[in-house]
Amino acid sequence: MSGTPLVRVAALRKYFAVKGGWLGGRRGQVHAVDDVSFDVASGETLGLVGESGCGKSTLARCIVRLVEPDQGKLEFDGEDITHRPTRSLRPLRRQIQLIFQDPFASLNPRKRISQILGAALDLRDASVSRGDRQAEIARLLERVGLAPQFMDRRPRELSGGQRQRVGIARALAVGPRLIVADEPVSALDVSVQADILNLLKDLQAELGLTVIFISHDLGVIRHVSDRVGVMYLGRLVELAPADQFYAAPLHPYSEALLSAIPMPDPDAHLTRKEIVLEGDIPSPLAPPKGCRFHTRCPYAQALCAGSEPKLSTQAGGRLVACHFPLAKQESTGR
Amino acid sequence: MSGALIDIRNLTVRLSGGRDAVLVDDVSFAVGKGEVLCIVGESGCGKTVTARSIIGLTRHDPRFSLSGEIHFDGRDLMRLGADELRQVQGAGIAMIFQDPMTSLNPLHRIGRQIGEVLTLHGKHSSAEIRRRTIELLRQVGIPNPETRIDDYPHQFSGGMRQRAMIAMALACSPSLLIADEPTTALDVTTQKQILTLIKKLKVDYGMGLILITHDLGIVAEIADRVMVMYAGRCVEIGAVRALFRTPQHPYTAGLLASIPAANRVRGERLPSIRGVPPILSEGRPQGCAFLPRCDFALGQCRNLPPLRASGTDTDHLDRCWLSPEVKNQTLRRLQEGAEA
Repeated sequence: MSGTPLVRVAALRKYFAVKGGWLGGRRGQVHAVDDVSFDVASGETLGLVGESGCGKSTLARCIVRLVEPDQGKLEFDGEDITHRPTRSLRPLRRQIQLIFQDPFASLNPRKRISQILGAALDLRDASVSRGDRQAEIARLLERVGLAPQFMDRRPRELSGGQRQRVGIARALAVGPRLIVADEPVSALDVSVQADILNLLKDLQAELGLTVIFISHDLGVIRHVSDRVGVMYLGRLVELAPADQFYAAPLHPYSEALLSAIPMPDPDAHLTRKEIVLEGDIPSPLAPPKGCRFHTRCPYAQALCAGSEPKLSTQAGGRLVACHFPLAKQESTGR
Repeated sequence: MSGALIDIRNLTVRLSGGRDAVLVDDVSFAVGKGEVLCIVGESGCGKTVTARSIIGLTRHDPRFSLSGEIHFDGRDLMRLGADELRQVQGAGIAMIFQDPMTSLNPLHRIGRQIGEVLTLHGKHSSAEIRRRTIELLRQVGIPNPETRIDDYPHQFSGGMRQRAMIAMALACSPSLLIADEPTTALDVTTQKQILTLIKKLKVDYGMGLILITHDLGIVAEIADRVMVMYAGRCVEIGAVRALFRTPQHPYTAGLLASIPAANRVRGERLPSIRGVPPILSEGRPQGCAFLPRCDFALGQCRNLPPLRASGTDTDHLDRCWLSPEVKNQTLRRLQEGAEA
């Protein structure tokens, strides 16, 4: 992890106005992404995890510049792309690609697979001859584990897993350097999910891709990520190398998330700490004052309601936004 | 199985119309008082149709034809008339669904919807119904039930709506609760809350529970016994520990191995099951439906294997021709390989 990072996100903010009332006046703002900063090194996989409303998808959309951030800075390969106008985003699209969650909604049902992939290839180089293009499409399909015959099919003739493979092939068609995958396996069955995860990892190793992988599933995140970032109500609350994170999370929310994953082992409850959080996730329209997690945190103290902790470096270079990170308390015998 | 709360024998559900398909094929199982049976499988395996057929929700659909027996409370539900069945629905057997938003009426207050169940199954005064409804909402962990009772569903969060659904299901103190993917639409920490609640209420009410899920983690957390379904058939059924420790069917073993669990070492490839589940309306493969995806297939597999015990555990049944030695060694290794 030396040199300039491929992606640099600095104090990024994106609010959405909520309109309502009978004159359509502004009712409030969804604090979707609030002051989030991190770097992603070239060739690295960063896993982003969080529950609904935590801002992980908005963050993904900011990074691929489907939406424009309000504040902060977004750099790709050393270049500031935060407010680049839509017109001049095309060259960027060849470098950054998004893989969507729902393989049923993200492919045009009226087009054949060859047309879907062909359109993406044209974005890279429109001057390719017809024959070369067909060969390139076949090569793309093969790369994602589909037979060339799939070229003539339409999305509805494909299973969910096969569609997601086409979605991946489309992302690869332009030869990107960064892939942002937003819940790419959430809509798939377990046995198919494993295939797609393996495929993504193979492709990453083969093509030297950098990946930002977004999921609510900590099991999936562990399988693919080098580093893990946890988001809660628009804030990044913890960022750590994957192995350290899973061995000992520092933020109480991370700990609760890890404890909430149902483990496929009937005796798992004997060896792990059971944490059941109280209450619901507060509305991102009005995030709590102080630490945003303090309303549900089992260890909250007076300070937590009053002042918001900043993401700061702990021993070992890990980042956490908490006044009372866990490891410290652990050693005092809690 | 005598003394069972519900005993389902040879349940078969056929879908007729444009494409004929057997959605549920000769499925038999029983659930005892206070027992939790999880039905697990991937999309289209017939787990939801099985559950809906038990409570009679598929009966009025002319495209479905059902056969088999469902013994509950000394009667065969398949032979009951519509009125008699309605008495059982809600009072004896209650069901909760995956999506709490579509199962609640958005135009009616939460309290009225729960009260309706009480009115239908007993004659209470309105004050009594309100008192009992508040009590139910409190039991399922809704804060300030005295005021929340007058809220509309849109004022509730996803987790609270599922709690309200559970309150509605509990209204008549059913002896059997069927929960179809009750936490799939919820966030992980909310899922944990709801599972904890269901476990507690199961004990408080002494209910039997049939829980349908695709998530083997949830199964491990809550089940006493597990039934694995594939392409409309039960391929393996047994006590939860036996099934997780020594899976006897290659499909079960493959499913267990393919979960990207958080306790697994990063970096290696996930074992996966090649191919995709058959689409039943396009015809089921001859013999064992798992044959085209199975790494251990034999010539024999073109004939449908019976559901029988492979080892000494007579409650652990599977539908596979492999010898008990292969099952115990190879399948176990597959799973341990994934854990190592």
